[in-house]
Amino acid sequence: MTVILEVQNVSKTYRNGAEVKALENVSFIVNYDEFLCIIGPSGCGKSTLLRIIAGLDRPDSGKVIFKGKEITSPTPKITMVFQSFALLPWKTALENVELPLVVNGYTKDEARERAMKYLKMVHLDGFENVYPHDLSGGMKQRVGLARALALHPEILLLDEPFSSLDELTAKDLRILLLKIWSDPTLPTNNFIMITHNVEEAVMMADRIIVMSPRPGRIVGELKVNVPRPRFEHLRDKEFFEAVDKLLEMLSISEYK
Amino acid sequence: MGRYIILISSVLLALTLIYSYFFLSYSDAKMLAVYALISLGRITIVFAISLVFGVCVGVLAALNKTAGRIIIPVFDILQSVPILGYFPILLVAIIAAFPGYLGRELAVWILLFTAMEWSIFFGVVGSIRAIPPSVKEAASTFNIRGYAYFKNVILPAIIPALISASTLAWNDGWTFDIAAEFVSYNGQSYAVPGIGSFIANTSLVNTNLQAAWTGLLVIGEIVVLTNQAVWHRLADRVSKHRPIFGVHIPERIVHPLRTMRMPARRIFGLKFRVEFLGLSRFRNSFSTKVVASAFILSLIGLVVASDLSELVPAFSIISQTMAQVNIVETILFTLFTLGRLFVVYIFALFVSLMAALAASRSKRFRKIFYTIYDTGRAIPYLALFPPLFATLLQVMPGELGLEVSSFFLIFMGMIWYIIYNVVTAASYLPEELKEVSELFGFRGFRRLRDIVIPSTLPAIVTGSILAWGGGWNVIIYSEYVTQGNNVYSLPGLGSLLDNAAAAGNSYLVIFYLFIMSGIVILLGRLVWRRLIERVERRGLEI
Ligand SMILES: Nc1ncnc2c1ncn2[C@@H]1O[C@H](COP(=O)(O)OP(=O)(O)OP(=O)(O)O)[C@@H](O)[C@H]1O
Ligand SMILES: [Mg+2]
Repeated sequence: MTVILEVQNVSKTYRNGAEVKALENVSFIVNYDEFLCIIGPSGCGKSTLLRIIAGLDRPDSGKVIFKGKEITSPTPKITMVFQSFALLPWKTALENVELPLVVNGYTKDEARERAMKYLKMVHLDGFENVYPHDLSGGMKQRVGLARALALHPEILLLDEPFSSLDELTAKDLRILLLKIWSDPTLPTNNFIMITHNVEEAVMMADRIIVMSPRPGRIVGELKVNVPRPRFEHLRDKEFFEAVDKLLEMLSISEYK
Repeated sequence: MGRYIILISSVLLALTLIYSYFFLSYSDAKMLAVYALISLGRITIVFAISLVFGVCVGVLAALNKTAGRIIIPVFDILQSVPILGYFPILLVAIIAAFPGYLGRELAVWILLFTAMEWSIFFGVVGSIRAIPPSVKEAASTFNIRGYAYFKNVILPAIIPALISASTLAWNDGWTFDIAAEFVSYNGQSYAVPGIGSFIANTSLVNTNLQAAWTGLLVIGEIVVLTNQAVWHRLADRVSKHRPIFGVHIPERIVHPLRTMRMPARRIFGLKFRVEFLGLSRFRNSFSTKVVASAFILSLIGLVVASDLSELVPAFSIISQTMAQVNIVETILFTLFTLGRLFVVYIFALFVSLMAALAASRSKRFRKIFYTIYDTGRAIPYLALFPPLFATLLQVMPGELGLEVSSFFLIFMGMIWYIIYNVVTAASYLPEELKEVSELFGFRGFRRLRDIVIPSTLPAIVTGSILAWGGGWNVIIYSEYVTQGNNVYSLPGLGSLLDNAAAAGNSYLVIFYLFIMSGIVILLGRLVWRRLIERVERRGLEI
């Protein structure tokens, strides 16, 4: 079995006031150990799709199958990193990472140990007792990353995780993220990341799914064959070809 | 929906009035419709005065820095004094100055004015202050000033707040109507014709429970009808306009000063709430305010009570007054009152937190909540007290009946402040935080402790301060009651004060008001201040 997650004919329409058709018949699969990117214009339903995969929202029709079972509610096996970080402002960095562990049945000591380990992994040792208020944007997102990874999920969802950060910070975090993904000692090997940055998608992904403007449909798919580590190949012909292809798919989808 | 409510409540009102005219066996019952009209007229006129006054003075205070520096603290002091406590003294002073009916009517107007004015004034000030600086700068860039500035910037900014504040003021007017129309002081009862005094009379003087409840029903129907036909209509119309500055329109306002935070919260989300709570610093900290209010009160009291002519040296008054005070009793009764308020407060807080928990997860709950709030907040609970007590008297001993009615009344005086603030804060919790708590499985008590309480803490503090303020007012009204020839009282500070008032001892009344203020100061310093500081230190930036 190579498929870990399967999205089948998912449609979703928001009906509060005006009807907004967010997703129409979206289907795709995610393979084990794959880094998948989803790219599409603003408002095409990417976040909606991710929330449905996380079990935070239900589709009107269609379903999401995770390892043979339908997803109907959130599970610790699939966690998420938010664009706006979404840390609890009244908890320290350490407590923010610890709390989901405690809630999900780990003892206090286990949770503490695990949280420390993951904070260290995202290079935040020394900032354990700082409140989010006093952390920079990049550091907040590191806490968000540690929080999501500490639960040992099998799939990590990332909704535009770097788009509220400056470019230099984003670059650091991209490298960190790729390191985490390729680290064989960590149990989380499947990443699904939303982005609207074409270079970012090509730099990170094994495979990129392209969505159309609202209602969101899948209009194309691109396998990225640039060798890894990618930041050593940013000037390669393959890299630019992939970027061009992606841009073309996006512009075609605009006029459909 | 609204149209049906209007239709149904008008039909019910008509039926109730017809019933009272033909079938109530009470001598004065045929006059009920007239009384209702008199009260309606009275409240409408005083409301109009409050509105005009509030807008003019509010605009002045908000736009002119010097005026604001004087007016705002003074109004802040005035609004923090428990009006029901000093009303009897005020009444006597006014009657002394204007004997006869004129004096009584004037006193009623003043009480109603103090019940209505503050929401309007602070609503105006708050909404003008909430105009973003960028809008002001844009206006001056395009050379919009003077009348054009007033018409295009100020007016659109205050109208939504004005409607919500007016709704509050209108309902407060009806709530305090009964306390204004019927007062006992120094063994005498002072009444002016109106539906409030009708209810008080039928419950407490010529007991006729049927008539009392019918009167209460009429008040309730009028309140529902006017709310629906006027205020909700206006609010709907305003929110149909394009939102101002891309801002959601605050349909409801918390209360005086705190109104300032409402629009801000809706504009910027949680982030700005604490900064605005910082306004509490600008309003010269809670305690100094109360000290000042106690001081002013005592001045008024001293002048009034010493009959102006024989200005007795203050010291002898104080020592004479102190000689009448039983210290042990005062301390004990104060503790009783505190306990009574505390028990109800905890209960109200619990109910509010449960509601907040529900609001943090369910959109449907949020929708129905505001309907419940609107209805509940509009209940003129003070008017409910006499018939409720008179009815309970039939089935249980007087003291127990009074305790039960007190509990209910304090609850009604407290709950709406807390529940509104807390539920609104919980509803405006950023979507991501709600998702985080769902994603990571925070449920039940955990969700309450780790998400709902910390995120609504500023609202809990604000709501609690307001609720205690409401509680003190109620205590004065509900711990002591004269029914027929019997006096019922509960051990408590409120009844001590009422006893002093019943004996016509103004100095003693003032003394007890002093004690109340002192407790409010202590609570402010020991509890609320610390909580506010804690919240502010943490910062709520997401
Ligand atoms: N709770 C909701 N109620 C109503 N409409 C919604 C809701 N959530 C999203 N939408 C609408 O559904 C559409 C898709 O939203 P979504 O957030 O999934 O888009 P997106 O691709 O993530 O956009 P962006 O790039 O801006 O993040 C948008 O038009 C949005 O306005
Ligand atoms: Mg999105």
